[in-house]
Amino acid sequence: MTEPIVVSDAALDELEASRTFEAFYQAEARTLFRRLWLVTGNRAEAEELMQDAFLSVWERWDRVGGMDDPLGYLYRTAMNLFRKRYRRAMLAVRRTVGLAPSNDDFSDVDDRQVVRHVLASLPPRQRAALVLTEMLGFTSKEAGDALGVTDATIRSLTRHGRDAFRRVMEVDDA
Amino acid sequence: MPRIADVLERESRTVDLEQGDFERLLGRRERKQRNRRISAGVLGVAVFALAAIGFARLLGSEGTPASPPSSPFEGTWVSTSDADGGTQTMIVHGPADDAVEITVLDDVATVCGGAPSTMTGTGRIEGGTALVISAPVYACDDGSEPETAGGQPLEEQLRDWTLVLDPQHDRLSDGFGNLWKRAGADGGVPLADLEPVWPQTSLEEVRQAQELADAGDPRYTWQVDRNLGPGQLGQHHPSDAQIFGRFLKEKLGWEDFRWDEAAAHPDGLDPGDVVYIRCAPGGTNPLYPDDPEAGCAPTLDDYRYETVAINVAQLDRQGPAGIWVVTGWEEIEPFEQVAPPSDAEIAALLEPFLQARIDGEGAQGVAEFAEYDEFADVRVDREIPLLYATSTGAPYKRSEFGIVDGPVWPEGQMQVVVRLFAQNDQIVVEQAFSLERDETGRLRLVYDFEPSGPDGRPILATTENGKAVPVGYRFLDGEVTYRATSPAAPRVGTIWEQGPDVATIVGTRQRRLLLILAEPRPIGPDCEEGPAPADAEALARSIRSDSDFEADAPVPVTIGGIPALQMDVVLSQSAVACPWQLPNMSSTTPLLLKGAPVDVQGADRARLYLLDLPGGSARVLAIAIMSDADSFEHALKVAAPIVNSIEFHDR
Repeated sequence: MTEPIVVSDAALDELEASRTFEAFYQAEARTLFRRLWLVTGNRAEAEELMQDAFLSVWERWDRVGGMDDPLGYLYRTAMNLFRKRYRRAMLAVRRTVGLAPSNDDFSDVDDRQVVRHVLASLPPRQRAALVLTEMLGFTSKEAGDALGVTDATIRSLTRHGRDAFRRVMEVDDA
Repeated sequence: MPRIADVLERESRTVDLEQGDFERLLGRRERKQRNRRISAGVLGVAVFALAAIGFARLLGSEGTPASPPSSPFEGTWVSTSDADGGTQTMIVHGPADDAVEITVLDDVATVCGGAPSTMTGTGRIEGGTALVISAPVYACDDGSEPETAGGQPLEEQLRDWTLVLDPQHDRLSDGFGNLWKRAGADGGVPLADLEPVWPQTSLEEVRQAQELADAGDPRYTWQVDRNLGPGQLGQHHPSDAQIFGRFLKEKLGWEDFRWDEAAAHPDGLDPGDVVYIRCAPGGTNPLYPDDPEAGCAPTLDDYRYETVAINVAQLDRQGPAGIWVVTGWEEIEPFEQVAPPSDAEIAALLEPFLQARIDGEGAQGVAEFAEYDEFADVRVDREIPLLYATSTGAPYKRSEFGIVDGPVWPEGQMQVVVRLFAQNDQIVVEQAFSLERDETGRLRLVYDFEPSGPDGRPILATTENGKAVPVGYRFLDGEVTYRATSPAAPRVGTIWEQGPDVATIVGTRQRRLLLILAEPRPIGPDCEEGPAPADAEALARSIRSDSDFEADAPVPVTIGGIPALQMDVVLSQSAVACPWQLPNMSSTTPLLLKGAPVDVQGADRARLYLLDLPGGSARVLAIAIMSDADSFEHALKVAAPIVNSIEFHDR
C-alpha cells in the first residue's frame, strides 16, 4: 500500500517562500537582464526594461505569483515594454529621419568581437525575435504575441537573424 | 559548430547587473507608489481582485464563506488597485434597517506613503441599493498623516462616501471608480456549473470531442492547447490559443480583431475572461493615421470598438491534453480610443502659456508635473526651470513649439518641444512637455523633469543653447544642496542610499562619479566599522595611517564656504581586501565605511573632501570623487561644478 505523501509545514513554508517576489527576482533578474541586453544592446536600457517588467509583475504578484508560469508572464511583460519603446522609436524615426540617437553597446564594437558585430548588424526586432525563439524557446506565435507582430513576421525576422550569424560565424543552429 | 543559442548565451554572460540592483528596484517601486496622485489613489483605481480569487479557486482553494447577509451589503468585500499594487478589504456589518458599520483596510495606501491604512465609518442604507457613509475616518496605520497631492482635503473627498449595489452581479461600486466583490464568493462559476457554448454545445459532445482529440482527430485536436492554462487566463492573455480566434471568426463573424493590453483589463472583468476588440475590416484608423500600431479601426463609431469578453474552460479534462471550449461570451462596454488633441486644442493650451512666459507672469501652475518623478524626494526645484527668463536673467522675446511624437494610440498622448528665444535669438531655451487627456477629457500640459524621448530613452527636459540646465538636489534633509547637470544625477535606490541621512551617489546611470557620505567611519583591523571620528581631521589621520592606502597630506580648501580638508588617495600595492557578506559584492578594499563599504573597486584613485558640518552637530561629511587613474583628471573636471555648487543650510 502506498503511503500518502505528507507535506510538512516546513516544506510548505519553504515552498511559499520560494514563491515570494524577492526570491523570484533573485532567481530571474540576471538572466532577464542579459536577455534584454542582447535585445537592446544597451545596459542601462536593459536594466530599465528589466526593472519596469519586474515592477509590473510585483504590482500583480498576488496573481502572477500563483501562476503556473510566472516566468512566461515576466518575459511577455518585458517584451511588451520593449515593443512599446521600439514602436515609439519607429514613429520618431519617421518624423525625424536621421535624428534617432544611438547609444547602443553594439554600435562601436571592435571588429574582433564577432558576435557583437553580428548583433550590431541586426535591427532590434531581429535581435528580439532571435532571443525569444532561440534562447527562450518561444513558438513563432508566442514571440509574435510578445512583440506585437504576426508569427510569419517572427519567422522572417529569425530567418534573417540566423542567416546573419551563419554568414559571419558559420555556426549551425540545427 | 556552436548553436546560435549557445553563442548568444555566451555573449550575454559578458554583461552583468551592477550590484545593488534589487535595492534600486525597491527604491523605484517606493517612489512610484509615493508619487501617485490622490485622485488615482485614495481608494485605488482599478479593481482586479477577481483574477487572484478566481485563480485560487482554480487551484482548488476554498474561499471564506460569507455569513448569511442580514443586509445586501453585509459581508467582506475585496478590491485591489493596480495603481499601487495594494489590496483593499472592506468589512460591512449591520442590519438593513439600522446603522451599518464599515471598515476598509488597505495594505498599501498611496496617501500614507505606501503604509497600510484603515478607514472606519458608520453608514445608512438608502433606497435599498445605496450605502452612504457620511463621515469616514481615514488613518494611516503607521501614525502618519494622510497626504493628498492637492485639491480638497481628504475628509472632504471622502464625505458622504457612497457604495452602490448592483444586485444582479452582487457588486459594489463607489465614487472613486472602484469595484468591490465579495471575498471568497466571486471566483467565477464553479466548473461543474459551466455549460459549453462553442464549438460543442453539450457536455456529452465535449466528452466525445475529447476522445476524438485524444485519438488525433484534427477536427478536434486544435482545441487542445498546452500553452493555454489557468495562469494565462488569470492574466487575460490568450497567447496562441486557437479557441479564441476561431470563435471570433467562425461564430461571431469577425474578420479582424485585436487583443490589446489596454483593452484587456476593463473594470469588472470576471476571472478567465479574455477580451477582444473588433477592427473594421480593411479600415484605417482615421484618428491615428500616422501610427502604424493603430491600424485597428473602430467599428461602432469613430471612437468605440465592439468589445467582447470570452470565457473558456476545459470541461472534460483539465490539463495540457484537455480540449478547450467557449463557455460564455458577452458584449461588454465598448473599448474607446481617445481622440488625439487637435491643432486648435494644442494651440489653445500652449500659446497662452508661452505668451505668459514672455510677459513674465501668469505661467505658474499651467503645466502639471509628471506623476512619476524618480528624484522627487531629493529635488530642490519645484517649478519649471527658466520659466520667465534665461539662466542669465534675459527675458524671452518670442516662442515657438512643435510636435515631436504622437499621437500614440489609443490614449492619444503627444510630446511637444517649446522654444523660447531671448537676446535677439542668441539664447534659446528648449523644453519638452507632454500633452495628455485626464479622465474628463481635458487636455493637460505635463512637464517631466526626467522625460523620455519618442524612442523611450531619456532626453533632457530643459536645455539652454543645447546644453543641459543644472538641477538642484538636496541631501541630509536639505542641510546640503548641490546642482548637477544631466546626465549626472543622484543615483537613487542603490545599496548606498540607505536613507537621505546616510549617503548619496551622484553620477550617470552607468557610472558613479561623486559620493557624499554623512558620518563616515574608518575601517577597523578586521574590516569592521571603526569608531566615529571626532572630526574631519581625525578621519584624515585615520585614512593616512591605513596601510592599504597611500594618501597625500590634507590640504585646506573651502567647500560651500566651509573649511574642508582635501586629500588624494590611491590603493597601495599591499592593500588587503575585505570579504564582504553582502549579496553580489566581491572582496574589496574599503576606503570608508557606513553600513556598506565605500570601496575603490574599479577606481584606484579618489579625491576626498572631509569637513565638519556646520551647526555644531559634530558630524563629519565626506565627499569623494572616485575614478580609475587614467580618467581621474577628467573625473575631477566633470565633478568640479557639482562640488563647487555645494551649499550648506540651517535645518
